[in-house]
Amino acid sequence: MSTLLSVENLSKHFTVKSGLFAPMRQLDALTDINLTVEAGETPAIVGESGCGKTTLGRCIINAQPSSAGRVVYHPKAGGDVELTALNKRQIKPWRQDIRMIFQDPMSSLNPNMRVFDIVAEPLRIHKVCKGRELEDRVVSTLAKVGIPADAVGRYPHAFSGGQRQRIGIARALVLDPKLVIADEAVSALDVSIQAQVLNLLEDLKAEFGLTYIFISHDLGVVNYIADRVVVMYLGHVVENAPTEMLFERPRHPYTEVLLEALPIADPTRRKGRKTEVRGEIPYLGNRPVGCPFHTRCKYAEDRCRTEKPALRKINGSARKRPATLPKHWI
Amino acid sequence: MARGFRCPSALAGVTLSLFFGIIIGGFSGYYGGWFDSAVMRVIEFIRSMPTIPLWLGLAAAMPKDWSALQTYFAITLILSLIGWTELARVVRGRFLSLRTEDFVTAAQLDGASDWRIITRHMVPSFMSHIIAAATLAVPGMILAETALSFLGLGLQAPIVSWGTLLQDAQNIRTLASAPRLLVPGLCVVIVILSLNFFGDGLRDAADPHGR
Ligand SMILES: Nc1ncnc2c1ncn2[C@@H]1O[C@H](COP(=O)(O)OP(=O)(O)O)[C@@H](O)[C@H]1O
Ligand code: SF4
Ligand SMILES: [Mg+2]
Repeated sequence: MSTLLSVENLSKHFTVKSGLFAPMRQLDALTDINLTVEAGETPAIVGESGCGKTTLGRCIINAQPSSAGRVVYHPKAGGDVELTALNKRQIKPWRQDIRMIFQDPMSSLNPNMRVFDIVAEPLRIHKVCKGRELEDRVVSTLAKVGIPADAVGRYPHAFSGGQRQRIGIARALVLDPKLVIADEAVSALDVSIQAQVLNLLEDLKAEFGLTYIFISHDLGVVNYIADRVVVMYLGHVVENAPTEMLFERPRHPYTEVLLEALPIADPTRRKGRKTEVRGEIPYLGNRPVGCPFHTRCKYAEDRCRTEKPALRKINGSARKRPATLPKHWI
Repeated sequence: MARGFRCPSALAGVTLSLFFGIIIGGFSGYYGGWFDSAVMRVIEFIRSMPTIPLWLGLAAAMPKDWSALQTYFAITLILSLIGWTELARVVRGRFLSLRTEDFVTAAQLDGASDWRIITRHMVPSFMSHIIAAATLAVPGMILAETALSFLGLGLQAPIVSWGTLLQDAQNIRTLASAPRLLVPGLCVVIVILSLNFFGDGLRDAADPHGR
């Protein structure tokens, strides 16, 4: 396996203002994120709502600028492409390789464009093909996700949620990408549809030779599709381990509570339940010093209020993928 | 009576308003930042001024020796100087809310240029709003022009407008003996109501999905 993408010390701050004369506040949405994505694997990024999953996905794909750190893409041909250092024009060719699937299947499809044009848009922008060839490519990609050829002239509102999400997937795949970031790709769907779309994503992965970064707040879905789990809390990565290992033996107290809140690990039988942990998530602009989790951790001790546990790498899983785990003093 | 219909004046005013409104509002909403803040302050300033005294002042400042036609265009210009603010606000608001829509992000991630995003992805989805705002601005213009002319500060006879016609109806005794002098007022009401319905209809036609 070769490394496809590496995220190095990535941080993202937002400055927000609550009123005209209120002071600027800094929200640390991402703090010093490190992770690597191997070609062909499916890492999942999990955590409660507001922990920065979407922000991480958007910073990786450069939909918004990051504040510090680098995102480096390693294309097959060799050479490192530092995505975070590229301007709009320079990054355009790489937009063919790295694509995104959005959470909300309604708002991610332009209501004023026909499905054909929505899926054809990336091909037209990158001038990949035109005319007959473009038509064939769009129709065959839509067919692969289960949208029949006679429906391509309709507008998105004529489709169900699951079908719209399939159209979004077709738009992501029509450029034959290498890496697809799926941000809560099934969270907005009914449970029965979720399973179908997850299966579709699995099939397409094999067919197109894809690598997914799967973002979700739903550990059940993650268990189903991911082979590695990156747990985030308040903009920090707190644990990063192969799925089997993480579900068998969570190392971080936060992962532990996330798993405790999980009733059945079968996505086809679970409602799209949110992970719940006791206590309130602290406000980002007012983040606790020390370990970010200490306000809610049942093992918290004095030391946790001033120091943050470092992550360390261990080799543990059957497939010899390294895990990054917190070095704990408990 | 039909000659009293001053819609062209209002249309010219709305066209000017549309031009300023879309350019300034669009720029403001798409790029945001300090330019947006500055534009918004200017708009708030203009809109916080009481309009009737402002119009009266501007209209009174017009040279007396101007021809009727010159006055007419000057009035139109004055009306649109204020009218663009509302349209700019509408356009800016749409740009602001569309800018963060997933389908705009999707277009950005498709690699589309700003120009393509604005013209192909954003404008079509708020065309209906512009049409509605523009048709709804026409009645406002007609009303403003009627009010000014009625007060004797806008268009003056011999230019015929509903405002100047209604001037004759200022006197209660004249009114009592010739109620037909109120007919121009009725016309104003009818035209404005029709334009409002027309605006609603156009909006529905331009936006079949009723977003
Ligand atoms: N554009 C923005 N401006 C200010 N704060 C933001 C912005 N986008 C996200 N945030 C904040 O960053 C944090 C992480 O958000 P997000 O990445 O959407 O979380 P998640 O996807 O895990 O639910 C949240 O607290 C959110 O309020
Ligand atoms: S460092 Fe302390 S507070 Fe943080 S997770 Fe570990 S035990 Fe809990
Ligand atoms: Mg999110």
